[in-house]
Amino acid sequence: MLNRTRIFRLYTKDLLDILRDRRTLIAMVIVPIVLYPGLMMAALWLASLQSSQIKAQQIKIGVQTENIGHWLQDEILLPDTQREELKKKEAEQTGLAYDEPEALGNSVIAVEPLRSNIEALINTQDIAVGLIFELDNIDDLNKPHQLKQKFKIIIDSSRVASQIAGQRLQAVIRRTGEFEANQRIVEVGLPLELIHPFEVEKIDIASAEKRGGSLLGQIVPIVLILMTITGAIYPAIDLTAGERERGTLETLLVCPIPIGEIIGGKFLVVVTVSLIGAVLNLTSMGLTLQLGGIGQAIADDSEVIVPLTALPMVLLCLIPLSLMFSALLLAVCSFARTFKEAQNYITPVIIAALMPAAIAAMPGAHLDAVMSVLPVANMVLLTRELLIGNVPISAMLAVVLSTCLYALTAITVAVKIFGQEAVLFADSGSWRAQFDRRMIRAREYPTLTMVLLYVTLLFPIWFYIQVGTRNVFENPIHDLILLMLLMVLVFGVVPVLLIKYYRVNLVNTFRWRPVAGRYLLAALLIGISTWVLGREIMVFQWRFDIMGMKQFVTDALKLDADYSTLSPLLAVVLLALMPAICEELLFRGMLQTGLGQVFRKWPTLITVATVFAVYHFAPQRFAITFLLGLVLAYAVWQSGAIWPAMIMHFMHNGLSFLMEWKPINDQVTTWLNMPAPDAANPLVPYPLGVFVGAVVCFIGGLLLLRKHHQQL
Amino acid sequence: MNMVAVNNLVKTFPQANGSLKYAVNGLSFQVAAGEIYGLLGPNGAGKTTTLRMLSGMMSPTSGTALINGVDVCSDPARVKTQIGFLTANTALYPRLSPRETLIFFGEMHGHDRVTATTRADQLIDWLQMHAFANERCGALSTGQRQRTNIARSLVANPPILIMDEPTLGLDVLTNRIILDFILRERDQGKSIILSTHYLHEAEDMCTRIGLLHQGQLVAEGTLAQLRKLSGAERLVDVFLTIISRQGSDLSGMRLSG
Repeated sequence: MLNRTRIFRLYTKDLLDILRDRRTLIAMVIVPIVLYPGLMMAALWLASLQSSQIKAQQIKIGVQTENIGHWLQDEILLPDTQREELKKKEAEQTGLAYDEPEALGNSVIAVEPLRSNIEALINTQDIAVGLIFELDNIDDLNKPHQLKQKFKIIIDSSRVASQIAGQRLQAVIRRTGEFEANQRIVEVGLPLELIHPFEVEKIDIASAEKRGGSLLGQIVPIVLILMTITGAIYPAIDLTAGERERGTLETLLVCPIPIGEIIGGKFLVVVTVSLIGAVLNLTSMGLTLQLGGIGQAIADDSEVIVPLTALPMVLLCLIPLSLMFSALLLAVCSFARTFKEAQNYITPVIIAALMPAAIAAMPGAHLDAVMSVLPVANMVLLTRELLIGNVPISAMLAVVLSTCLYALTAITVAVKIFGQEAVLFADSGSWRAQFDRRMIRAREYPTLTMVLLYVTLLFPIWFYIQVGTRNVFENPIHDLILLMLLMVLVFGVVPVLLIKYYRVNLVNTFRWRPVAGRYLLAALLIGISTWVLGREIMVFQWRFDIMGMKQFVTDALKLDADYSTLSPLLAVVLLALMPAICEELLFRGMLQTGLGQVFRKWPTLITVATVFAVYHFAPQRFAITFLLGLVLAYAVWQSGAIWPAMIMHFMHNGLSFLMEWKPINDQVTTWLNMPAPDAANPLVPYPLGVFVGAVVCFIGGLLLLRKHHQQL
Repeated sequence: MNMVAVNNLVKTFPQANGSLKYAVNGLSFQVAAGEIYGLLGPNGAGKTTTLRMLSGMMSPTSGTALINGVDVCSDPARVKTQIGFLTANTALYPRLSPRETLIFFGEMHGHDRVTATTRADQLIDWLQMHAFANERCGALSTGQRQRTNIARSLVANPPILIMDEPTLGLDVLTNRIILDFILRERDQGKSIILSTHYLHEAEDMCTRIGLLHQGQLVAEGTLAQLRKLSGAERLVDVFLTIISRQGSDLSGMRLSG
């Protein structure tokens, strides 16, 4: 068992050690406080400088004849103030919008008769843009009968300067053309509406705060996540590889403290430092944005407010991210024997971690089901959504819980690696040899690391299996069969093979042990009652529409309708038998045994139930699956065997399906005199008598389970 | 009663090519209370690995070692409460002061803050560390650091001390302080395993000496017994004679004194 006081003492020691290191302080405090505002200001200043430079830059325009050059100069590029006055007046008269003419800048005309020469000059960057007319005589331009002119603007789109010059030239010509058109219409005495049939006005309903959030959402999450990660790097290396290099690690190992506590203390230090870094970054960033008026600067002209109220929530969500990265970095650095080696290991990890962040930073990405479990990406998106201010609670749960699970796995892996003799003592052989099966010692129980690593890797895999098997076939039943076959593979076959490969006792891991009759009786009693209780919870949730239950029930009823074409036997096999066997093997077998190696009874059971519920990917049913998972875990813990849980799980799933199956459901509802379900009330609760009966059975079963099994 | 009882201890390291390296190969010896046992041998003889196993840091591949009655295989954590361990590999935290170091390690051995502080002050007193007790270890001289490290190994007042080259690179004065200290601990009835390359030191200090070579004990006894066995007078010659009888290389040895 871990000793909390000692972990805390290790923590304070390591924290003191790391805070006395000037490099930490520089990375943690100075960078965000000084560099941030500085960098942001500098970036803005540069940006504005650049744009003013572009405006001031001379644009060289190539034309074919002298005449065209004059026309361009007189009519387009340097319209006299008189003409602007005229335009303004016209705009007032006609009610048309008057656009301030965009200056083309300081332009120079170069005459070059051959089009090929103009192109060559653009290529050599001597001129920015070319303008070609499809007529010989420029005077034709101003003749009324010449209703249409064709221009060609030649640019080199691979050069920014050329591209911008082209855009400006085009805009100026278009505006001149519009003016020309308006004049012609007015000249022939027709209303201007003739050529302006639509008048469009854009109305922005986003509040200033939301606009601020959206703007910040594009940069802040990725910067914040980067800063949280970078904050963790230095302490993670210093406290693992650094300690080893300085030789203080062996001094620590002489003390009667388990490796888990040593890593625990270090882990907390890394988390603390990275979170302090994140807080300082966030504060500094918020202040820079708020006080520096940068929000206004990046938001053109509309009013923008920095959503300061969202920041504490953002910070809260950074905690699991910090946990995950601290654990991951510790695990990676644990391999390293020197500071330098650790840095080499970290670089690819950081790049790999930033890849999903980059995906999430793309403008189109949003926090959908897939993204919500993709590590790092989910945090980028969650932060962005929090800044804008609309996050569904289920998405937030998915992000936080999945991140916590990744963190837990990483930390157990770190403990495992850190504790390896080959890693602890540089001279004790090759640690790679430890993965050789010949070197693996047979074990009675699986280790927590092994179990968590598999269960965690399974999390995204299972998620993508569930999402990926939707609508593969025409017939939803075929989808279901595919899903269940994959489930047998990843929940049953692979874990068993894995346990066998690592020479762990299969009977102990999966609890294939004989079981006393009382536990079987308990399983029957609980198994017959839970579907009623589960259904009542659903009715309750439906009535108050907790967590979108109404929509969920509607979908579920539709799915039931699909499955009703299934033969009841096949349905029971697919929906009850296979899950009962596979899910029990994984959750109450492998996971529970692994957790039980380290944690006490209730933490183990609660973790098993939580993971079980999370793996159902349905927040609406979280409460039900959690409670069911808890009872199943309890049954296995008390009886020492997997069978009661399998029976209960089978009965629960089977009865839940069969009692909603139309032929049976009709008979039961008639028999119990229940009102028929309708659209407004699709879930009719069972009469009180049934509920009470179920409760009695359930409690009876629990009482039978209270006795802990004797070792056989 | 034997405070340390090592019986047929073996430690193998898996190599990258799949073979096994025998770092310690069937080692057996005993150390009684009030005895200084010298474990001597050239570099690579398996001393460090042996001492790590005895301290509960490394688990033996086979064999047993009882430390004050506690088995290193079954209860390494309790073994660690029985020993004070000092080797060249146990460095100090450079950013903590000697006093902070002693208090911290006291607490790691299960003392509360008050007891740990009292014990730290006591050790600072005994090893004459007042002058530098509050400076950072990183800024100390080698001698000051070694005194701190010795004090560190004694925070829990363990019945058994394992000292691997405690006087390496020290000046005469500090050398004296440390050796006197070890003798004082012996007189208080502690069992001490001393490993050193300074053979004159072993001559002066050790009750009995074990010569370790290629993971095995090639000779063991009092200095008189070893002299008789080898026919040589000085320990250096005893050493060389016995090991050359084993017909192996001495390339790793550093001899002085």
